Amino acid sequence: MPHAFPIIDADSHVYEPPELWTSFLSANERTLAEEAFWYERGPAGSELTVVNGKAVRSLNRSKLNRYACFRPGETPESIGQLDPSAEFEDNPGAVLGSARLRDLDALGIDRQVVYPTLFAEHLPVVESPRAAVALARAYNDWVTKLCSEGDDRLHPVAVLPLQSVPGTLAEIERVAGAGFGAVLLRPSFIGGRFLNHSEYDPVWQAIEETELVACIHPSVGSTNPEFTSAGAFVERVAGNLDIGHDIAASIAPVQDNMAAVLALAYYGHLENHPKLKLSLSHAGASWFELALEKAETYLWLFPGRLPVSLEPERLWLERETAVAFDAWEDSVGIIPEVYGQVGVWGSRYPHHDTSTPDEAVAMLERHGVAADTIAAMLGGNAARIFGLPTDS
Amino acid sequence: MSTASPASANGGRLTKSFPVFDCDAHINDPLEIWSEYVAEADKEAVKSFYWQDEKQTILNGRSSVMGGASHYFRPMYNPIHMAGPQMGKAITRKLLMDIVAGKLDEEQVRQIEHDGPVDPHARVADMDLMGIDQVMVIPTMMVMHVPFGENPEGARGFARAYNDWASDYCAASPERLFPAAWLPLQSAAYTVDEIHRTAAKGFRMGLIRPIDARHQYPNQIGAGGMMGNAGSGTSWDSVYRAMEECEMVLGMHTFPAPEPSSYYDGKQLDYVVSPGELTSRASDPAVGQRIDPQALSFVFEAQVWLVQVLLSGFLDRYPKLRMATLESNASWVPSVLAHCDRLFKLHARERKTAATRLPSEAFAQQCFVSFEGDESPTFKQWRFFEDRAIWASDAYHTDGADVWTAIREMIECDVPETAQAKMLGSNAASLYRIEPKQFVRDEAPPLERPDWFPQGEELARFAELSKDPRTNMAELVAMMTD
Repeated sequence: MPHAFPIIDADSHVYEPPELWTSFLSANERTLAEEAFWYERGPAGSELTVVNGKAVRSLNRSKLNRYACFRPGETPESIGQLDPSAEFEDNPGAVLGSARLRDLDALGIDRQVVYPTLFAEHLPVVESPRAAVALARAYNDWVTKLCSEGDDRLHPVAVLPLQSVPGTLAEIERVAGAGFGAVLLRPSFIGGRFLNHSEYDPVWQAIEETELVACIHPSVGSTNPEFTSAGAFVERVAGNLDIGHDIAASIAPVQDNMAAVLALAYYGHLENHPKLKLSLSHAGASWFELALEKAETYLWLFPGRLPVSLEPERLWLERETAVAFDAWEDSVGIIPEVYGQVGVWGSRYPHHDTSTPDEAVAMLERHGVAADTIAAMLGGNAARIFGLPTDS
Repeated sequence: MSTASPASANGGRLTKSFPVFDCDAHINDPLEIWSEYVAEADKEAVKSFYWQDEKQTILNGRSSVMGGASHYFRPMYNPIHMAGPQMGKAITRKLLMDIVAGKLDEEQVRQIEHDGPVDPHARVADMDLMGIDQVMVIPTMMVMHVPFGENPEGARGFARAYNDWASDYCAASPERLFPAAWLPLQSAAYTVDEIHRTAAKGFRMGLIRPIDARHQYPNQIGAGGMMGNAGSGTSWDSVYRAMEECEMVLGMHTFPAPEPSSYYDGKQLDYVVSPGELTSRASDPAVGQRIDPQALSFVFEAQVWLVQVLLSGFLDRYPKLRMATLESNASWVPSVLAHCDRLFKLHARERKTAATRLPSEAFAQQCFVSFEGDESPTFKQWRFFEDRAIWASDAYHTDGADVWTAIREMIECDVPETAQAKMLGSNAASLYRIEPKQFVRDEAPPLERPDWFPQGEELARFAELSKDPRTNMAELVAMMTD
């Protein structure tokens, strides 16, 4: 359905193809990558993912690639009825800008902010800093090419090799110069360090200075080692129930983003970097107030060493902050006084749990959210944070 | 039913007309459990399991752990005894700063601690001030340590001792105080026995903590059941069936993530026990700022449990079971349910377990979730929570609060009085099958405090400056040293 305002999808994905590894790394880098993080696909939907010299299991539990299966017109019910033992072709929009544009037109989306899938899951656990630097550069070059086919409607988020702070600083400078507007920071442990670790202080400084948006975006974490993020624990204990499919996606991203908000509030990142632009994605939005409220409560009750604000909610709402909400989150429609300010809609396209702008608008209208607030939440807020045009 | 609304004639104090049931407040595990309630025949086993005396608390006969007694916290106050009538975050912080500044002596520190966690008569007096008519009491440091206990016989003896003590504590005011049963989860068979024993004594809820202590995450119901073969050899199935049979509420009570190495001679585990561990691990030792695991651990433990239960069809297997998710806040629930519904549909053909209801349907039919008085997002969503939410004071833990705070916040969020009555009282009474009774109607006037107690303009000024300590550090330091 066409809308009277521009629709910006603040959370969409690619599903990285083997070509990224074979064509965007030099020969020497490929040698490094074969050991550090390598991905290939074979006949009958088979996949091989190598991380740190070992094969890791696919993000999928069946032949159905749940990270590239959504097409316009599909619903949770229709995808749920697909035969998981049969081959099902990925949506080409996961890897081709031109195919993606057709889907955007069909869905009524004007622009998309584009995140990785496999790189979000695996790059943070790569142990070799040199390989991480090469892989990050390769991904950023590949996604640039994909988005260049997007008629200026696809806006990539760059990945960073946080295993190497110098490498990260160099890549920030490179992608800022190449026209990227945002960088991805997965809320996970990288070499035992979380995003608030003091070794990353220069990284935050560089992000602020280059005016890139710091996009805190989790991955499901199901295939990662324990202690990387919440997903591995969720999947391991759920294994006792033998449910038949992964369940971490239901809660691990929420916990990872809540942990990030808590950590940044405890370490005063918004005070330290007053011009920082932050976006929190792929975890829904309605945990946001709770995370800030919990940070506030415990900062009040148990003072720490750092003199950080005891009003993190006020601070975060005053700053350039975006929180991507899902179309199924009625909570967001019920509390427009908060989410009207910071809410940006994200589709998760082409993951299986993709939602559409029509669903999001219908949900907000059902709760009586004002038309101008809906316009802000479906596009205006994202345009402001990401510095995107608001033409339809 | 009359309203709970500000009464200008009495200085803005509130009046309520409905009974308030506090679904989750705490005692502080007293020494009497060990000194008077452990049966002689169980003493050796309990000593090798979890034992506390005046000086120390020992787990598994080898690990010294932090019990809840005040000597563990001195020279600071005991945070398990803090949040009583007319307390609040600013007062608590000011008291802490005054102690750090050497302004309070040991006797003054003792005075700011409430006796209610161990004295039922003091508790009832505090309840009158806090607007609480009835309460379900839950232990404290046991919840942290005992899941790591090893000896099943010790667990059985200890559970009996605790439950007998809790029963006597609550007998001091049987219409207002109600105990939750501690279960010897180191043995499914002993747990079933204790469920039956405590149910016969009138206990209405049994407590389980959803963590992976000793690799015994409490979802291992697979042996011989519809959940496949995973978990065979340890079956919690009989535990949940006993709860159904005895109409005992499954109380999933979460807690701050532990430091598991403290239970294993300092050895680091290679697996996560509680998802809350990830927040404390984010602390950067080089900076020295500790991220308090209390902040999100409660929420995380509850979330991981709930999504498994709802996506697996667990509740279909136990259709008579009623489950309360406690001390984990509530505002996150509606969106997580909605996403779970979507995932439930998306995985329709991959799901191996028998599940017939959408997660939101199963939740609505068998689950309750507790909330605290400062949760305005929950109150704004009162239509969702009206029949599913139960209020918790969390007293006397530091972050606890009275019901007047909750009512004020609910009024601010336009929660109708009928919904207030349900969420603050009748939902919990119904869940626990306890006749609601009202003992408190009016909010008390301000308490008389000694001169040294934070109050008045000085407290207001302190609170204002504290919001932005970076800007106001000099003035805050001056206040402390004044």
